[in-house]
Order: sequence, then structure tokens, then C-alpha cells
Amino acid sequence: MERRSKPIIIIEHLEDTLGTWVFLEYRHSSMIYGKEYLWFTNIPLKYHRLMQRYGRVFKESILQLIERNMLKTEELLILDPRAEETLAYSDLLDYKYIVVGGILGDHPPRGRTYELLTSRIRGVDSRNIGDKQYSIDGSVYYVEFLWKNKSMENYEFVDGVTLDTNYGNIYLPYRYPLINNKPLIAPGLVEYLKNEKLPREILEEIGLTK
Amino acid sequence: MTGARVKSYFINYSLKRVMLDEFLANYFKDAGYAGVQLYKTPTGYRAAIYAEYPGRIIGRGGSVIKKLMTILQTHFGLENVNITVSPVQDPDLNARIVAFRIVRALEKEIPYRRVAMAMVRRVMNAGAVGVEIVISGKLRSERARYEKFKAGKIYKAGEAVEYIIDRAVARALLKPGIYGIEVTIVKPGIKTSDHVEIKSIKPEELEELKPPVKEEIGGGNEA
Repeated sequence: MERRSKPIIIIEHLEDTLGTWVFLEYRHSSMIYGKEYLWFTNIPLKYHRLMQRYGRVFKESILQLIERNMLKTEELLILDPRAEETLAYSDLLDYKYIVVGGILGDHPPRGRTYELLTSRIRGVDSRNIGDKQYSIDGSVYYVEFLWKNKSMENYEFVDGVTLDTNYGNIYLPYRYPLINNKPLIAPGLVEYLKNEKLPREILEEIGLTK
Repeated sequence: MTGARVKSYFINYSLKRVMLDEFLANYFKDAGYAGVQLYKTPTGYRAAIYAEYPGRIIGRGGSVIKKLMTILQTHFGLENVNITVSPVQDPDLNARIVAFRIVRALEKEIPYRRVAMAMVRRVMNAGAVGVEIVISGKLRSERARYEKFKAGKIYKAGEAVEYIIDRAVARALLKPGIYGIEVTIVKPGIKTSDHVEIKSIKPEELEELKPPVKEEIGGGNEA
């Protein structure tokens, strides 16, 4: 029987710190998928207040949540570029939780999702969403698109985005979904990369303006 | 047809030169190593090394160069090698020196943007036609990306690239991982096929250059 509500996305934070770039991608993921359906795990305590605006926050990692019987391995599906099978609509009905690695990737990718997540949870299933590396919000958008359209028809993407600056350009070597022929990049990220500053509205949102 | 032995001689010679170049680039990064030229002499080999700071390659009382001579003889099989170290004429226009300068600055934890912008300015002030610096890696310890800094005119394709471009790649190992640095400098003073020069001509010379007006013979309608 078809389940009505969409699966919960769990973003397992796997970086040492919670930097600006990863924060912007988490914030955008929440905007795309909805904070009711988004969990953040392995988040250091000092960021809980900040991240609670964008989803449910846990100090524990997924592994610890499984050990505490809060999650069952058979309900989890990890999005891992090393997985052999590609994510299908039926997977979103079969699994209750979709796990995304909260990693700011290397280029070329080092396969850290497998190393830090898939290989550590025994018996967990994994799926890929293409042969290239996505941003965190990009992979959340992929799941949202699949849930809404039930297939990946008419889905468009671009490999690598170049941002022009005053002194040259910045190249982001990742796969980004295209919406109206424009790559979907987290709001505020372009400004942050160009000027190393966050836009005023985001600073106001997180209470960093006087 | 060239014989196989002749081919293998030149391949081995080139391989030896590349291996030596890589070794010296790795070992003398701090000395601003710029390049090496390897010559075969009747008695052995001669290696001409170019660097920004030749003193660091020579060492106190020639201590470093003596060690280097032993390494070249034992590891690279260059018998009876004679090493000369010379300074580079214009270090700001040498891509390898600029790349190693960036590496040294990044290793001192100077912000990469400030380093790259300063180097772009310095190279352009030295008279380069154009410069492009690409820094890639986990800049500011976040997601990996490439950042390109450029000024002037840069040639990317065509025959001119072979003789007008000086390109170098260097690596900096920092806490977040390896940074890749690519420097491309367009050398000054070389005329390319797209070169346009506007000459200043005096008014009297201009008159001489004008084509002579032909006198009309008959024909015209007179009112």
C-alpha cells in the first residue's frame, strides 16, 4: 500500500565543524523539503539552537540512534555515490528514512559517504543518484523531485557551475539541478563565495545583526 | 626510419631529465627552483639549475651541491656530473617561481585570495601580457572548488601557446588537504599573429601615403 507522507530525510553531519557553506546547504535543504521532514544528526550541541529552525536536531549519530532502537536499519536507505542501484520512486515508498551524508565533498570525491556511513551500518541499503557528486541541498532536491513527479523524467542538471567575479571566476565542480535553465544553488552561497559575507536577510534570520 | 635503439636513447634521456626536474622541484621548493637543463658533454653530464635563490641550492661552502652531486650520480645514473646554479633573470615572469611563491605563502597560512591577487599584480607589474592563477582544493576548509584569478590577455589555444605561455603546476599540503596551484604567464616581447601595432605618423608623412588623385579625362557633364 502506498504511504501518503514522504520519507524523512536524515542529514548525518560528518564534518568536524559546522561552517558557513554547509549551514547554507542545510538551510536550503529545509526550504526545499520542509522542516517537518528533515532531521539533522551528529550536530554538536552548540549548534542545536541554530539548526532547530530548519529541522529536528540530534546530538547523536545515526549509529547511536540505531543502538538506542530509535531507528531500524531496515527502514534506512543511504544515498551513496558508490551504491550500485539508482534511487527509484518505489524506494521512497519502501523506506521510512533517506539518509544523506552531511559532507562538503572533495574533488575528485574520496568516497567518504561509504567510508563514514554505509560501511559502518551493517545491513543497510544504499542507492546512488547519478555518477557525479551532488551538493547536500541538490541531493535533497533530487528526492523531492522524485517524490513529486514519481520518476526522473524532465529532470535536468548541469555538471559544474562557474561564478564570475571581479578578479576572475570560481568553479564549483559538482552536479546541480536545473530549474528554468538556472542551477539550483543555496540562497546566499553565491554572495558568500564572492564576498565572504552572508546576505543581510540570512544574518537577520539567525539573529546575527544588531 | 629511425632505429629502435636511437628512439630508446632519446626517450631514456628525456625521462631522466623529467625525473630530475621533478626531484629538484620537490627538493628545492624553498629555493625558488625554476628549471634544469641537462647537457651531455664528452666527459659526462652538465646540469644547469636555475633558481630564485641560488645560494640555497649551493649551501654553505657548497655542502648542498656536493650532496646533490652524489644523488645525481647514484640515483639518476649521471656519471661525472657537473652542476652549475644560476639565478633567474626575471623571477616575476617565471611561472614555476610564482607557483612556488604561492605555495610558500599558503603554507604560512596567508589567505589564498590575498596571495593570488598580490601575485597577479606583481606579475603584471613585471611586464607580462597576461597572467592566470588557479587555486583549487578545500579553500577555507570547506567544499572543494577552483578559484581563478586573471589579468591581461591569456592565450588558451593555437600555435602561439607553445612559445608564448609559461605554465607551472605546484602543490601545497595544508591541514584541509592538498591545494593545487596552476600559474600561466603570457611572456612579454613576443609578437603573435593577432598583434596589432598602431604607428604614429607625422602629418607630412600622411600626405605621402595618400594615393595620387587621377585626373579625370573628358566625360563630365557641364552645366
